[in-house]
Amino acid sequence: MKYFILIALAFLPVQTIFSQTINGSVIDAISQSAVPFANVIVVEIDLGVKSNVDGTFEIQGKLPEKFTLKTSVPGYETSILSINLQNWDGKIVLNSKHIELDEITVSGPQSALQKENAIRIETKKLSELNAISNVNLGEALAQIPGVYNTSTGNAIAKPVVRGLQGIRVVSLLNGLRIENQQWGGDHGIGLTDLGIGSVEIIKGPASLLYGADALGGVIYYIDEAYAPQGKSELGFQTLNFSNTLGTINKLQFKRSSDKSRLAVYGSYSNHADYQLPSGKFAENSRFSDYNFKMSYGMNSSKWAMQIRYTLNGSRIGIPGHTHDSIIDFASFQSTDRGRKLRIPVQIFMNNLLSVENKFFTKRGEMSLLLGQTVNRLTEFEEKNTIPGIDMFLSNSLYHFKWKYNITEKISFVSGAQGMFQWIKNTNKGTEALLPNALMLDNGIYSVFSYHQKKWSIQTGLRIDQRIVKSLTAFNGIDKLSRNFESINFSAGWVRSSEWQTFRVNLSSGFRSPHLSELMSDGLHHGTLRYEIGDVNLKNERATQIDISYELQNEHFQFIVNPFYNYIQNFITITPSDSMVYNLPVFFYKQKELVHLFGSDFSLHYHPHFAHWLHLDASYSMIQAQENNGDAIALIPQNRLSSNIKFSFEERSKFYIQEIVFQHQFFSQQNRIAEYETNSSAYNLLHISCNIKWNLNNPIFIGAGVKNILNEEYVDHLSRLKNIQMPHPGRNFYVSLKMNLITTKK
Amino acid sequence: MKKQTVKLFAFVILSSAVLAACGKNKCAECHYDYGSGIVEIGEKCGDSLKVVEADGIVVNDTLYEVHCHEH
Repeated sequence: MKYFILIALAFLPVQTIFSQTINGSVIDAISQSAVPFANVIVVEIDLGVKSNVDGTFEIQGKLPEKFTLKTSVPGYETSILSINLQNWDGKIVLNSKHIELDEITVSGPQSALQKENAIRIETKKLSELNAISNVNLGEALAQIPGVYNTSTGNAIAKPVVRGLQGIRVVSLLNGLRIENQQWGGDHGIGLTDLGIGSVEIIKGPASLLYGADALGGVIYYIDEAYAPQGKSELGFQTLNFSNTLGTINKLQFKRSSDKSRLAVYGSYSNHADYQLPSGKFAENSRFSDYNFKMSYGMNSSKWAMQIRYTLNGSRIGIPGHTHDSIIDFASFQSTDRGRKLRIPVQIFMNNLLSVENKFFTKRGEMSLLLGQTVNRLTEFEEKNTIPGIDMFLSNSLYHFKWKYNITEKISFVSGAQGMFQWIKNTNKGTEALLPNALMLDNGIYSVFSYHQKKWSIQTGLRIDQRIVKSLTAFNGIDKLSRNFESINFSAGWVRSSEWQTFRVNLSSGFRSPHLSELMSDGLHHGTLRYEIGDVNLKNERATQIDISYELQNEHFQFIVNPFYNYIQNFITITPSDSMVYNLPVFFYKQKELVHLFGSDFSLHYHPHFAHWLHLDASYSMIQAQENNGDAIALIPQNRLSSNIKFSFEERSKFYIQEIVFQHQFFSQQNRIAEYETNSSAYNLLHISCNIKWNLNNPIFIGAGVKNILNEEYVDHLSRLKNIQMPHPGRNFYVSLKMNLITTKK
Repeated sequence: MKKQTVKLFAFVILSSAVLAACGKNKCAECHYDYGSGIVEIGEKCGDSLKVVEADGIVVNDTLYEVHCHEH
């Protein structure tokens, strides 16, 4: 840790730069009138201001000579400008739009508009995903086409991208890779939506920037913006759910000056057992978590630094736990609701620390991100005071990235990335799922981009090496040392005009077997199975073709995004007919070839005659099969999701901002693997109403009902499907969000 | 504003301390299996819970594993 801090400090440049003041104005393209309260953000350094009533704004501080200025305000198309301070007149002209068509993306090779990326990147604001409030982040992500949620009750939610989950989906928080024992089917994201502003999803192995494993995709969480320059904000939010008698309370403090920016967040949530549609309760589905988060940013005109820290602690009851050979499903449902934690229980602690330094040059930027994550997982199963499993996972990471514009049309990004992981069982646990082990990853990559007026090409190569070493023999298996290497590519072409965008991307990726797949030999209470690994497993290799076509105008948007992912040496956990301790034995096995294919469709219509009405629909379909046509297990049900949103203008201080109806239809899943069972189709209906009380410090009030029809259903990806435990029934919620204090300097 | 900030941090630290303190003195009802039935040995808390779960209970020179569940 000491060396880590020293290295981080070594990158702090010492230089004297004079402050600048930039004055500008935001105006409407047609009427030329001022646009008030627009958010104007210098993307490279996360520095933002709000335009005044007359549309003017002032940014003070040390700014790079060239930077990207993002301006957004409801009712207008987001403006992205590449600014060169020497020849900018300070005007930002916004076009009136009713559908947000384009966003700047940060997870791609370049910070570019979505339509310029040869990789399709799905970008969503968390506020949009939470228009109908969600109990956890996984539920919110599952609003995105092609993204699903595999859950263990309300407490554990893991994203599933294009049918793949767990280790095959790489999650990053502001560029820091999150490693939190995601190999376990019952280990959640280890993150809440606290302080997260938006999320970007790259589906499939298309990105070369984030290393091995992302065969399903990359989920890139981006923090909320800091307070506008010169302002301090103290905010509070509370959410209350009837189904779990649960609360989520959040507190945040943000402060921003022309020299530095700070954001501090804290939250605590507590939920009792959830109520089933029958009125009974899912026993031991209770959970609580606490979170703390801090971000600090500062910059000069040639350099910017961000330090970020996130702490997440969770105590999660494990429902459906049994060692009985004959399972009585009714025994997992209770007539009494409980809140006090009891065994079996899972206790998680995640610490995520990152320090990122960016250096701006005339023709690009260099950045170095150093990170340290520490995860501790403790499971109490049979005893209240003696854990069954108690393990640490420490991960030290680096990512060096160099973006360089050779000419205005040609640019590249090259980088080196790696991590050093240490898995250790403490001597407190009575069992071990994995041996103590080390893992070392290193990779280098280069991606070239060529932009013409209406089209762009991106192509790149990445070389990776992973070394896995177990430090001890384990359950009769000798010490293991394996070396995995891989070369991958990505090549894409995009052509976009005002009305349409066409994109094709061909890419490859790899995933080396995880230690749990190589060396597991033990009882995993969280998943209710005895798992046995195979030391001879080989690298999984994926090759994906992804095509997308987008048709859009001021009132209409249609997207179709088919894909085909061809995976060699696909590792599956396969049930068998053997039992150990009355639990089924599962073996990690390798399938020679798996075909994954499907498509996402989405439609957004905003009629010209009714500007208050938004109609959204999306359909996601996925199929996965072996070469011989046999289905692969745990592939999500096809989903049709439709939203009707009524949004209203401010006519008085207290007004309804929006009313949202959502209908989701999940079709029957009868393409199933051996030992898997069919899942029935189901419908869900949700509603929410969001109100704004526009005082000096506005108050936002939300209320809604989830699962209005009290539908009894078990999703195909539910980990409680084996005990036929339904999902929560009808759930009323209310929320209140307010800024307690807002001060100007 | 500074006072407010100090109060906020004091609240956060205090809340964390309270949360951290919760559950330190855990209690549970304990029993051991005997024949086809169980023998209740009553509520155990804190260190005695830890000891009985770790060491079990000796009855008539026979060591029995003890199972405890919160009530």
